Amino acid sequence: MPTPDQITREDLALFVNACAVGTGQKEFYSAALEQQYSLAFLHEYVCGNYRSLYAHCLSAGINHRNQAEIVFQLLASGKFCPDELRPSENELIRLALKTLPPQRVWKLFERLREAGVNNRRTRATIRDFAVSRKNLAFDAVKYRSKLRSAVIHAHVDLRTALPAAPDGTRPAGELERFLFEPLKVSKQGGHTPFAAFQTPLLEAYRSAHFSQEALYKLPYSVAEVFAARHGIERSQFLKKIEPQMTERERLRLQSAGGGKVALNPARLSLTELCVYLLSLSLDERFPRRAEIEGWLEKACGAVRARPALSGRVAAVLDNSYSSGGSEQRRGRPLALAWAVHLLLKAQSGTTYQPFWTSQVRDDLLVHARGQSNVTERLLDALDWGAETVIIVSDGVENDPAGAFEPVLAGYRRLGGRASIVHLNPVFDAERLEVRRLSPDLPALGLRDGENLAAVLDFARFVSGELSLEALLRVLSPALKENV
Amino acid sequence: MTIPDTALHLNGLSVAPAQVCGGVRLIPLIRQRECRDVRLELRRYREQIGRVQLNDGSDYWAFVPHGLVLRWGEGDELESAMGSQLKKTDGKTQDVGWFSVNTLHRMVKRESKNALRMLPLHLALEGFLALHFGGPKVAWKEYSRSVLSQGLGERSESAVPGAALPGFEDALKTFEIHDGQVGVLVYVADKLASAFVVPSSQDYRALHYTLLSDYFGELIGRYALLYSHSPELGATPDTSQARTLADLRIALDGARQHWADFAHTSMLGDLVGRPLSRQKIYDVGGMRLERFMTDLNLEQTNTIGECLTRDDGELLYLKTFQLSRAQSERGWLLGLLAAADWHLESAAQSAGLSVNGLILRLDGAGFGYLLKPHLIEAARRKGI
Repeated sequence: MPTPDQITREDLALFVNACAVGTGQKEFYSAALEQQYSLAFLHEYVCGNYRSLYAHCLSAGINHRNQAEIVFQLLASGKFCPDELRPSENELIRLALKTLPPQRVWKLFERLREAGVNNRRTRATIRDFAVSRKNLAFDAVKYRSKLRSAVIHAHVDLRTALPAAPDGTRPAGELERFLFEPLKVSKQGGHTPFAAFQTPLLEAYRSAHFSQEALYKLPYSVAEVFAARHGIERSQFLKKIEPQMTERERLRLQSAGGGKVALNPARLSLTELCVYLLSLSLDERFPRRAEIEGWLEKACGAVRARPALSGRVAAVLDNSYSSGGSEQRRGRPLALAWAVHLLLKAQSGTTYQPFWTSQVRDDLLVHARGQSNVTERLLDALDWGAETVIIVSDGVENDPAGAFEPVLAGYRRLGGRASIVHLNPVFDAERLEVRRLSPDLPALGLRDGENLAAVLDFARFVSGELSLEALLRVLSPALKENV
Repeated sequence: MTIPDTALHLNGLSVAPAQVCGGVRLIPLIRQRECRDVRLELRRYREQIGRVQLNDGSDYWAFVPHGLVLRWGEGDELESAMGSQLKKTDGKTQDVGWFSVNTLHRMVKRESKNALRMLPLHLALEGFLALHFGGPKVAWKEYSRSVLSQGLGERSESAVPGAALPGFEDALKTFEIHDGQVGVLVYVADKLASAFVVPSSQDYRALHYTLLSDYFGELIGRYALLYSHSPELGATPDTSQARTLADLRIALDGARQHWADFAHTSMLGDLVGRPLSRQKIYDVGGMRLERFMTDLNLEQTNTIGECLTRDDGELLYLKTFQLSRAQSERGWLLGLLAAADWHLESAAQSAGLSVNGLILRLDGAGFGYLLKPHLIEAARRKGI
């Protein structure tokens, strides 16, 4: 019978893995809604049973969606929080909100309002976050309705929360006016605030109701609405709004923008770059070889945390058809496999060899194709003499299905000592976990390629090498500094 | 007309491990030697309904979403020409307003020196529908006057479109096509729903999703609705005896081989090895296009289909349709009557039935219109 410690370990491993990869989006094998239900269950279960660990998961390298979910669960169930945990929990929440993208946070606050969560801690959290924003006017323009609902919900007094700028560019009280003043109907059919603002961004928002020039001073997503209202031609709009775009907005518009939006791929992170490159057809990639290799090298170099590996390292990389992901996460699993491959290739002090499930003659031309014959590639890797095998696969094999388990067991019986790690970029909604290739080989959720080193650390906890306390220390270095 | 007993063989093809999604199991078929000289190309029809004018003057009406064009050449000659042909319109379109009809000439039509257009599956189904279509040759007094003068007149069968099979679309979508794969065996609740083989792997990639617009037997439709799960049939390697890494690989290959044998012998029992009645449709460029039907054994599942084989026996094209029990029975009854020269008593005798029993079965199968009404009423009164 498993001990309580073992159960905790397994539950926590399952949860952290699920939170690293589960995005509530459609996957190759499962629908979006299935995954949302699965994740919701996992969150409630872990929050109810392991509250302290649950809060600490915020700093365990899980993805933004699940960080926001944890904060929501913690705030919504505040009365079950023991007093002694309160300070550390508050600190974890504060840190998480600081690192989350602002749109996630404002959306979370809106959700808290919809769910009727309005305890003192929630109000304080919202107020503190609003005060901590460097440019609240920017948030107000970009996330107007969400900010408004958060301010109402938490009774934030903007007069104290947002004192006037000392240089006089933003007098006190402008933000309240911006958020709450009744709007008048403009000639163009929109609703516009009555009087002019002194804050340039707020004023741009007001004048964009009737002036085409003003809208180009706004953030892209807001300007887009005004452009549609003024009937500005799309290509012309994209050309002029380009300087206002964030890097991610540029990335998103690469194919939809019809080549109008310039992207500097050298500024993308390794995983984002891989996703972007996979979205290019092979014909587009081939002639730009030198350029692409330069970007990849730069992105690889920017990844600071390198896994502690040595000796002969093999990677079994799944580029079967299912690694093409879903409409919502196109090419994500393959992009992660590619990123891991690039990182391992750039790793010094090892002899490295990749084993793609479907042969890849040229790194640049990797694409999703063929069946999942992971077991065969594992044998290839072991034949090559690998001491460490890193498998990146969604865990669904079909050539034939269920072959991995007996082959791995057979290999261990032969006395094979190679350390084998399975990284899985996909959450399996049906099983509530990242899918394993074999019950003897726990799978680890891989959020992005840059996370490789951290995930390999976590593997030590899953395998029992690292104690729970040690893990907590690993998980919350930021907390220690701040508490 | 029919060639006696030649069983179907999957010559030139090997079976790869199955992929299961819900209640659907798809088994890939891989061509052992690449086929370069024959291609099969998709031709879509936009009209909802296809009307095919047959050689004997009769009409065949059906939902015909697409046709296939077979092209052949010598050596690599075909490869370069592929896709560069000018396409002319096929058939005549008639728009009736709320639907449109495409009138096509013949099931299989030679379009040029080395191209043949055919309507997949319709070729086989037409053969089944036309079975003993002429009716009795001797004017037995039991048959109604219209049958004696015009034959069976009108025959129809229904089927379920692939898109209406729950879970089938997902199964096709999540299926990972092998390199060199040219065909697939479709199982629903582990019942063979259809076998589909094309000459080359590029053709297969292009035609994979056309399985959705193909049609399937009624039983398959029901099974797809009832069974949402197929078990993973164990193709797991036995590694207990392995002593080296090479042994593990041998065990893995052994598992694949074991699966292939199992699939070939056990899972294809309804099709492979059954005596078939075959009918030659076309002989072209060292290949033979045929349609076939299993022996209409009511104890087993019966299948109709069409195939293209090379003279050396390599199977280039195959498409099958599983008949439902009622459809098999209709075919069987017609065969029974035809074998007895449509004489009711001797037909009943040969099947071990009473005449009344045969009349009731004919009526139950939808062939009541063949007989004079008073006979059926009398049979109903008296019972078997």
